[in-house]
Amino acid sequence: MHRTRDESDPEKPVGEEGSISKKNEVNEVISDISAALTVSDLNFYYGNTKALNNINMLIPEKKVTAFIGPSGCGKSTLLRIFNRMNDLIDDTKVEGSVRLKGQEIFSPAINVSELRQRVGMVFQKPNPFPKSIYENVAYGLRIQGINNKATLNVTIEEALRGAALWDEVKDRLHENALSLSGGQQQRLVIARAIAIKPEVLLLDEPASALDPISTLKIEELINELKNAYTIVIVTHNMQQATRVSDFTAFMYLGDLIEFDETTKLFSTPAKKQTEDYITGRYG
Amino acid sequence: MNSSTHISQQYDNELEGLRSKVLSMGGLVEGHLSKVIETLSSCDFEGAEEVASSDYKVNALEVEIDHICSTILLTRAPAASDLRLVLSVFKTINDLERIGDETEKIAKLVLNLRKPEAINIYFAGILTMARTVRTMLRDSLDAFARTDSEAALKIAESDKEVDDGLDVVMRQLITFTLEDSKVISSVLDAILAARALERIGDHNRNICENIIYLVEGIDIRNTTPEQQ
Repeated sequence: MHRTRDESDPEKPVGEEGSISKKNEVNEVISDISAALTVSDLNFYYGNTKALNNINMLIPEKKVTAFIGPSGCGKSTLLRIFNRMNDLIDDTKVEGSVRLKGQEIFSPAINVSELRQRVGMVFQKPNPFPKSIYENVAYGLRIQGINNKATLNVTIEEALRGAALWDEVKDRLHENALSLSGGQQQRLVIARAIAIKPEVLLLDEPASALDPISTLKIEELINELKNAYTIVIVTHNMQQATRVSDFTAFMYLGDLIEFDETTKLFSTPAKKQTEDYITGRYG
Repeated sequence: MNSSTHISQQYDNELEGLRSKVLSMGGLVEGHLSKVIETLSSCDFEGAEEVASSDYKVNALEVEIDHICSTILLTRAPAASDLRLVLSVFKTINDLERIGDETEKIAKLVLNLRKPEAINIYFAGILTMARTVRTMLRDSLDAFARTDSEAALKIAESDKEVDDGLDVVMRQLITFTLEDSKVISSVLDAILAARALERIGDHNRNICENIIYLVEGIDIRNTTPEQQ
């Protein structure tokens, strides 16, 4: 991947740009929410095709932010930028800046493996390793050099509990993870991601391959996880976005059209394009 | 308001059907109010009798529209202006039903009295109030049909005229009772009718607030004119 950006001050701390003012419903109390990720003047290209066009936004810390928009609008591309998964795709180019707690993620000083530990990701299709349930969750920990059995046991239980899966698998931790149902596999993957205590959790359509009950469990889980993690979720299911997210970003053809509190965006969107999309109208 | 069409034409038809049902219900209620006004001005009690016997039609429409709203919520999970339409219709039909009830109440009071000379004397001020309220209701239904929030705001503000009208009528009616205590019974009926009209004005104001929410997404309930 080719990068063109200003790297003059990659470690610049987050100043005023790192917080957003959120007015409550009666416009009286103004509380500040700090940003986990700060995106500035971000452009992204697949070859000559511009996939993201001058994106500027903040991802609030310990909140759930949903990206919605039609297929090809760039929401998954933007999500993948946050842990530099797009580095793995040939002939791509990124311009601009993304700061994780003030630290530039495109900086040469950044260790990409460490970045991906800090910014975990869960995909649409559950992708457990063909190993035991236990080893799936232990995987990231072992990479970090944690091999002490007692520590592993404690952390794995904690992660499985955190992913609301412990009660269902505690008696069969050494069975193959592929024997779990789709919904359980997805929660296992989330457990694997949170075992290494990331700061941000990226969820790319995490429930679209699941049945309604498993979907509700994942949504319930997202609601609990936001107490500890910043969550960014890409979803085509707008009802899901309204249920799980605090903030929503609507994207269209590579542009960030609107970003607002979810209840505001879905009840009184400011832009007609947003309105047309969420109400199912022709644009 | 969003004028472009939905990808689902069926959805467009459902929302259009909902809008026209509300206007039908509003038209029916306005018609009842007109019949009561007719009775008050001509002392022909036929109109009031018709109102007293057909309020059930207004109630039935409320139930029917309620059901349409529930179905749309269930099947379409509406968002943005569509959601605001369904929510404001939910509230508006409740206010229209109450306006229907208050109108029926006035019709029954007039029928109970059934004395043209008493009506001409004690209900004269009420006739003026009723005409003001009917104009407000008609204008509100127009504003709903045209999704005109500016008009709705003006109509909502004019509710004060009805409140002032009630004060004038009350002073007038109390004077009658001071002059002749035998008229108390007729005057009481007139007071109840005046109070019903004032309530209709309040419900009409609610409808206007619903229209403003529908169009602008702003809730102006319990705010001062300056805040609006």
